[in-house]
Amino acid sequence: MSLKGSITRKINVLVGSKYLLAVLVFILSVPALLFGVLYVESENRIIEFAKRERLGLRALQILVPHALGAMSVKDSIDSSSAKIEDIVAQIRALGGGELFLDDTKRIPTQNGVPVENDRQAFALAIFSIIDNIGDNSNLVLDPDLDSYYLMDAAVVTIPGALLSMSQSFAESEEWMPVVTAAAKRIQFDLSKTQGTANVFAAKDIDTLVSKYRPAFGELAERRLSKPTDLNGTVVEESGFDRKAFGDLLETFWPEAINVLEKILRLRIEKTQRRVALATLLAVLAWLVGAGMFIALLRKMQSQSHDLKSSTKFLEQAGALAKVGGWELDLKNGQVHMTKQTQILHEIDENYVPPKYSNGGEWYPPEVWPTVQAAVQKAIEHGTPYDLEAPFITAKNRRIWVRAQGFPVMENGKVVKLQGTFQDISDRKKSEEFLERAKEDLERERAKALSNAKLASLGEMSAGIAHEINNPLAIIYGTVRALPKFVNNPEQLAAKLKNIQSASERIAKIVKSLQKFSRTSNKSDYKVHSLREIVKEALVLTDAKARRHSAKVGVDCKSECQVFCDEIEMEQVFVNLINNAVDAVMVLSEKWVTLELQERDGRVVVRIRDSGPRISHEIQQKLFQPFFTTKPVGQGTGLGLSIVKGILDEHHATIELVADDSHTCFEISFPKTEVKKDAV
Amino acid sequence: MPFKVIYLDDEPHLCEMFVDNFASGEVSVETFTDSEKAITAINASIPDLVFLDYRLPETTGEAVALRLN
Repeated sequence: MSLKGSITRKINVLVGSKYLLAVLVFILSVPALLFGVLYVESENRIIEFAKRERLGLRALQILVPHALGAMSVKDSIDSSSAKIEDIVAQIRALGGGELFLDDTKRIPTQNGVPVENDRQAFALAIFSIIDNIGDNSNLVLDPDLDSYYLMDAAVVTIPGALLSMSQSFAESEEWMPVVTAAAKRIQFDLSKTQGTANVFAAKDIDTLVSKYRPAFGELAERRLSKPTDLNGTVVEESGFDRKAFGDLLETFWPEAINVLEKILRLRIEKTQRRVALATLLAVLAWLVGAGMFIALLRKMQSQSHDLKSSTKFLEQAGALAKVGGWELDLKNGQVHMTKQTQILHEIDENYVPPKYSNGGEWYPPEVWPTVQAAVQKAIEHGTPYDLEAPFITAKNRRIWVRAQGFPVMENGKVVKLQGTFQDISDRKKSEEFLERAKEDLERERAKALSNAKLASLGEMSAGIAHEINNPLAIIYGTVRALPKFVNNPEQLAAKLKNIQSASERIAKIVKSLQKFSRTSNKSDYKVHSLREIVKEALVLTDAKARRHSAKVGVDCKSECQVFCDEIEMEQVFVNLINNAVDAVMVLSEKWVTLELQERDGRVVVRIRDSGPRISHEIQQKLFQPFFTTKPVGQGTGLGLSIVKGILDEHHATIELVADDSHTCFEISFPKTEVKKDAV
Repeated sequence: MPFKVIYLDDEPHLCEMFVDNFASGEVSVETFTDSEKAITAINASIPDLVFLDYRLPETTGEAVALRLN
């Protein structure tokens, strides 16, 4: 029950803390790795395209002079198809064969325009290269604007070549739209290109551009400023200097190619570094994540191991303490018991408790209503319970159990009852034993008290008998003489009064005796006047004192109220006065005084007698039971020990007053104010 | 001459009861509750019979008897 809760809590703590971070890092490291892989792949493709750009550049380097050959390049492409094949072979030698030549073959069929001759095929090859450079590689896949430099070069170069070609290929009208479309496609905004170039250019590119752009720009602008001019009609630009353009290209190309190649190479290297770094980071992230994840798994494993061993420990402890657990699921009525609970019920593991069992089948009928009420209250009001009751096991053995129930709330409703179940028979047995022992002790104590009382009564009996005898003699004698006074009413009344007073004396003594000898097992504490108690004690002890001619005096100015058991306290004073009388009876000076005082709310009693100060040696043993200084057969030695016992129970103290020349005991009672209020 | 009895007891009612029962024409009874007065009276008049209570305040009947002539 609570064990299950603690497992859940442990898992919560595990996941809730740094281990959650481990899981997160691990989870995030997977997309990081994936991203790394994708990044590497895309960078590889960029490298691939950059390589193709280089190829394109080289191809142009070969093609453009041919295209312009008629004007300024030494080798003319004017004549035979064999020469075109040479050019194609040169391109193949660059390694870009498939790229360009496949396109060369494809484009005419795609566009539905027949390729009539080698010249047209050659022109197509050039367009194809332009397509490759301008569209696919740079703008689509690589937004990195390095490539614009390439475009720059192409833009300023190609128009001239196109112009030248369009003039050369003019004989075929069908080819004009193709040529025109290509020319349109490369109409870049030169100023925009230049701006981009300025921002991103390497130093040598800047030089290159600043050196050649004005010249190219001027030429190109003249060609392309009015694109519509190219629409279907060849516009002969009067001021176009083919010679100057060709010369410019001839000096520009080698330099431009070098710079561009350098840029491409740098870009490839940079990308490769990025790829390596990204790969490394992704792998690192994954390693850290995986490491943390493994650590988490191992930690959880060891936690679960700890949990297993602590569960085992709990089970053992439960077996030792005979404590089991149980759970009643109020949703489905299932009752679950731990092993120890099953053992305590004396049922085996296969026993299935009835659904919604509240335990009614286990408790004896006389206690069941109490248990049922507690369970019902727990289910209905969510009040936990803890009760001890007799219980009948499956083997019909009667034991005592302590059953605790704790409601589990969900949205303000009790959904489960969980609890403990403990065999407390042993404890109950020892409790009963203790109770019996306590009762025995109480009985013994009462017996001892009663014995002591009997002892003091015995001691006093002779005196008391005399004390009764005297008034009895008065009654007897007076009654005998009564007939003499029949005719004298006044005298008769006086005699009757004497009888009454003698009877009252007897009644008083008998009453005191009755009260004193009353036995009770239980003390009855109330607030009593100590003065009255002392008076009562004197009634009983007076005879003995008088018999021994000892004077007993009492000095008491107030009631001196004390919270006490009246008879026990009377016993104290009877014992003390008798003791004092015993002590002084052999002396010539025989007196006993009792002095009752209230000091700061406490009652203090001093009992002095004419006897000498008690020796230090005897003081030590004074309150010990069976210690007596009296001759054998005359004292039980219990008097003072009983006095001490009674006073201890009243939280009062008794001690000898050390600085008195006579024997003097001082009894000090605790304050009684609070207790007075309570009574 | 009546028979003279002196009775000493510290209890006046006992003395009274003694007189009520035994005083008559033939018996004269004198009672005392104080031992000193009793001793004086006894020594002065020599009664026929003396009753002394044994336990008396300050003294005993025995001590009183020893002081009689």
